[in-house]
Amino acid sequence: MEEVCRVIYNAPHEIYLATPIAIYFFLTGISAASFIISTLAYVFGIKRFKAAGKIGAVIAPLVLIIGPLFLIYDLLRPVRFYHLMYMFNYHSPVSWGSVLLTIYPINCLFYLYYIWKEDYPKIRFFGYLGIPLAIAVHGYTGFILALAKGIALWNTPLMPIYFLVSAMVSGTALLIILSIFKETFLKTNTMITRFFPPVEKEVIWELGRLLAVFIALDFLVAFSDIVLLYYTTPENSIVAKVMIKGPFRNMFLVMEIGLGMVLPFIVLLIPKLNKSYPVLVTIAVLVLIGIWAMRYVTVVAGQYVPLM
Amino acid sequence: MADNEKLSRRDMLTLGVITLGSLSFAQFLPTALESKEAQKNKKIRYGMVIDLKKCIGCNACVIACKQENNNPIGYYRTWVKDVERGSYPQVKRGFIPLLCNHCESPICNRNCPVKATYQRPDGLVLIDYDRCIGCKYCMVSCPYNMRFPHPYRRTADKCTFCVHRVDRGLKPACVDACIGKARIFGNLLDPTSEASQLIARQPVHVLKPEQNTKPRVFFLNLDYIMVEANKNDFEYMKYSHRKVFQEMNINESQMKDNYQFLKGKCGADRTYNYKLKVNIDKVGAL
Repeated sequence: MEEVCRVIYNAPHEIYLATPIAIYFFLTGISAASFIISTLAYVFGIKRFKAAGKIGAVIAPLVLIIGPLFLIYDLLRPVRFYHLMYMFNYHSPVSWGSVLLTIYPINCLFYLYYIWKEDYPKIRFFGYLGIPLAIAVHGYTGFILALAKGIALWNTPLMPIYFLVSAMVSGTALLIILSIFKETFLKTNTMITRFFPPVEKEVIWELGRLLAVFIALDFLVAFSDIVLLYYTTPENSIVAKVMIKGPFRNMFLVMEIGLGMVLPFIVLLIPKLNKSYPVLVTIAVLVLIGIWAMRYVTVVAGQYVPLM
Repeated sequence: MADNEKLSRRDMLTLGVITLGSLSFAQFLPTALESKEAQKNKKIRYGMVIDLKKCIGCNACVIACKQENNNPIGYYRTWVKDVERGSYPQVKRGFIPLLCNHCESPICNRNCPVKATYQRPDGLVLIDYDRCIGCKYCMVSCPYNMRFPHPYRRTADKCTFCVHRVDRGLKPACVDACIGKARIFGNLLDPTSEASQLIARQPVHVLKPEQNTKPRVFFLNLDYIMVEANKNDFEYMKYSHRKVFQEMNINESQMKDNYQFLKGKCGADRTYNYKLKVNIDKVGAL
């Protein structure tokens, strides 16, 4: 007997979390990754990354102060956001976030201040403190999605790792864009060069290689996620079909996987192209768009499948 | 308009008398103002059994809920899903009334960052509308999609099992309205109640048992294929609430006027403030 079912009436279904939440995930990812890259120089002592790390140390708090504004904007009652501060529920990942989003930017600002003062013991202290905080501040967003257990696309243990790896991709890409921008247009600006030493060519090339590694890891996680979705429970396979064949096909397959992962990875392997600045900037922009598509698809496509 | 809104002295006096009267009345409510321990000793756990063979899809429960709770147009605390199964010679039509399951371990409660959602000792999962910030996380957390953003109160909202009626010894409005007696409400811990006897004697099912939320709305004669029907049917997905009512030429301000007109006149609005009864900080945590 063939099962043909048709819904004659059901209550309309809405997508509750959309663009502002995706923007917030995108921004925290960039912040966490820039902070971690900057600690390569200032905590782990890889001296050639110092100039690029300084840019990262500036982006990290800047972006993280903008990010939560989108969250507050998305509340139905934005004026009540202060409830998050004293009505704490330690079961809820959103509550973990309200603590992390308070501590982490403060830590970032201290870190930046001591980089400005060149006080190395204190830089190391706030750097060591900041690495777990940076991982937590972005990893918890993965838990927000993973702990909404009704939604098949989100409810996977891969989600926090997927978010962290794609964060490293987007952070490295933004750092490449900003370094090249600074080296090309702001080389003679004394206001800028006083604080930011020049980023050497070799370092930008090395950031490109680092980007290739992160893209490969990101592809691995995305691939295992979608394959396991496609071949497991009915809910999972439906959401995988929505992403591969349904309305999110262009965003997922073309923007995220094709232009955001495969094409940049191939170009970064070609010896001459991966050393030209225009090509690197184009690739980094494509990668950023791809990660944005990943955030958007993850947030919206997950809620696209009706639950009841 | 402003003159009308000012309270006259007589109005104030009437209001005072009503307030005092309702406060003294609250003392005699069956479960009101009792401690968690006292309520636990009484052994009350409300739940519902829905016999799908008796449901004829008349939607009386939906209308009763709307009348009782003043749900904004386009949003439902309970609705009846209508499904057709099979093809021509062998066709079956089924109705599945859906409402908040008032789970034993509710995920909405666990995920609420401000503990606005709490569980009473008698099992009702309720929202404190003064605490709720409207982060919408509970709406995506609920595996049954029973929550919605209230467009005028600007908080999350869902079925309360008509707590204001239940606390006075009445049944929820949808249960009273059900003409086929498909919905049976009662204390699941009382072995003499109809609901607990049905659960004890008949094979019952809950929705999505794999989610481990332990729902307390049980179904008799549930067809899982019908429940899961819409999973592959994305046609109706393009209809959001607003689009449906735009097509019916009802605009946003008309819907708001409707809500404001009925505000304070519905059963749920007229009754006492039930959330005063429990200390949310103690009850809300799992």
